[in-house]
Amino acid sequence: MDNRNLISCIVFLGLSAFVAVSSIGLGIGHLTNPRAGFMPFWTSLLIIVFSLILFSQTFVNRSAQAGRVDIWSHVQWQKSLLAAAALCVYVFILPVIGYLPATGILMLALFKLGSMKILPAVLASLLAVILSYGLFSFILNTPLPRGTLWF
Amino acid sequence: MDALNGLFYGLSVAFELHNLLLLLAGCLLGTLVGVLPGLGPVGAISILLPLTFQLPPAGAIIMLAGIYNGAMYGGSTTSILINVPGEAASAVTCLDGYAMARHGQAGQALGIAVFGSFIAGTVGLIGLQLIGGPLSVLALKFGPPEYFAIILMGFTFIVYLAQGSMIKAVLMALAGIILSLIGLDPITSEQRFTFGNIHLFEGIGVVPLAIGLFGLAEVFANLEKTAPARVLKVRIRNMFPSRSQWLQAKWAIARGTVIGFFMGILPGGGPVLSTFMAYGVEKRVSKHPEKFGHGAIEGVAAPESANNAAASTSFIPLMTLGIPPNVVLAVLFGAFMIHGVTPGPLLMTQHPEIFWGVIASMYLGNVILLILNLPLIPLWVQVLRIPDKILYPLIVLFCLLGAYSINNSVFDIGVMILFGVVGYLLNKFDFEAAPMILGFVLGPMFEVNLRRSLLMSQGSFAIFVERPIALVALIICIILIILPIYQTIRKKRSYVKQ
Repeated sequence: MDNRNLISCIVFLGLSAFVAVSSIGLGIGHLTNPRAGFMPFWTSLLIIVFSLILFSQTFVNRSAQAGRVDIWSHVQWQKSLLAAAALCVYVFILPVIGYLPATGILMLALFKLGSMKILPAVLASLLAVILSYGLFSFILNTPLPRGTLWF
Repeated sequence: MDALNGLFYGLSVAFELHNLLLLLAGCLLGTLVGVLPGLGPVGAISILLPLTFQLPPAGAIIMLAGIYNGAMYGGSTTSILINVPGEAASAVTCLDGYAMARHGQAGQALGIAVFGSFIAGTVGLIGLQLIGGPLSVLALKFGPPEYFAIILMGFTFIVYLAQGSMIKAVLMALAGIILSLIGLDPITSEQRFTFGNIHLFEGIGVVPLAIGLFGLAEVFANLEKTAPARVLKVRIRNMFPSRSQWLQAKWAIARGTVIGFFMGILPGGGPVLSTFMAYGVEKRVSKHPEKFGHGAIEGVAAPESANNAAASTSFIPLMTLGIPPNVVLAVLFGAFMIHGVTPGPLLMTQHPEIFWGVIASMYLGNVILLILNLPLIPLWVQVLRIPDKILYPLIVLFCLLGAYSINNSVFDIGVMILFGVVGYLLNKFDFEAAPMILGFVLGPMFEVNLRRSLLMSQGSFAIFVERPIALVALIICIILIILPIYQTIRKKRSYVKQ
């Protein structure tokens, strides 16, 4: 049985159940006067139906499938996880310390993640941050976050 | 304005110096994006969208269309030289393109890809020019029931033509619809799923969503790969195919063009699927199918022609009906809206400079790409040698800036990162992200037109069968739903018999 499909079904069922209940709170209305909850309610019901079909398909085909699929083997998933974690930290520190330092730290982390030596990584980060700041702030007139810590 | 006068007017717009430069920049950037593995046209258009904010709408759309066409041309380079498709629409080209390169025919493979792309792209544009006008006039007569039925047909096509599991494609499209419902209700302005967060009042933006699902998710997927792709060391001597190669490829180009032309118009079709179909047809009609996969020039010519024809004709439903048929056009739809232009039947009359300007610039773009691509291939080969450890952090930086600059919002960066992780997991769990984006873009139109139709008919679904266009669309939906069920039953019966 493909364990990926089972996990997907559980996630879809959970999310659609939440949407369906919230939609009832919004008010579904009637066919003559559909209200704000009308579309999310029926869409979430369809998701439940199709999740159950996927579940039953997976269950019926359990002997034909290769079985448990390990999506984390033969890959360096730790690198992707670290990159995602670095980005999450970035979102929180960006408004506080501003674009230049926050992006500099992020770029350094990402270059180091690619096994770059420290000096080239620092230089590459500085270059990337300064050039992107120049392009977006001065040429495209995009106000990049300046950071609440300094102002 | 008829098609010929429209084209002349469009050429006058496209030949304005700033538009010409923007087109050139778009074509070059698009080719670069197409060449670089790991960043397709969807991510590229989303990331580069902020660069167009200061531009007039016509120039901005011309540049973005240039990026799209450029990516279609550039994708073949990586397929042929490193056996890794630059973007999904060039995946099939790997099969014979790389084999030709290993046999010392990299130049001819690249050459036939470029020439085939040019011929097919131009034919597609002629179709866009001729069909666009009349279809816009017809679409003006459409009301909510027609739009609802056509969008429903679009969803059915998206699911029917899905590359993986149809059930998973349905789930993705439905999830996209749910995501599109976040924000204020379009009719009553009630808050839906905003959790009181002011950033969600206007809903999630298509650009952070697309950058996350197609840009960042690709970076995550590439980061975990253990072995980097190697560029084949080839000497590209002659890029002009020989006379015998032309004779071999001519019908493949013609068939690829026809397939791409129609697949481009169909919702859910688009360049990617057209390449698989063109390759399959070519192999089936060939007298030497055993040569496919071992360097058959038809195996390069047909898919490359198909994806460029489809790229051109996919503008037809977007610019005439306001319905994006594939994921790239869904992001372009968002770009139109950001620039204050609503694609649809009124585009030709309200913004003729955009409608005809984009068509004319795509003709010019095809010529520019033909002229530029052949001499620039050695440069693209050098670009391919940029190490991943430099390339991916820079792509992440552009993803961040692309998501932020739409509304100057850090919240959008958070949305982009969230969907980057979601996209990465979807890929792991064997779900396609494309139906989700299409569901997200078509969702609001689908809801508004359904609710308006029900209000018009006082709750009766008969309104959808009383209108001929809506009825035809619904019949097509039913056929598309019944067909795979019938095929499955037939397959099972024959299996039982055996």
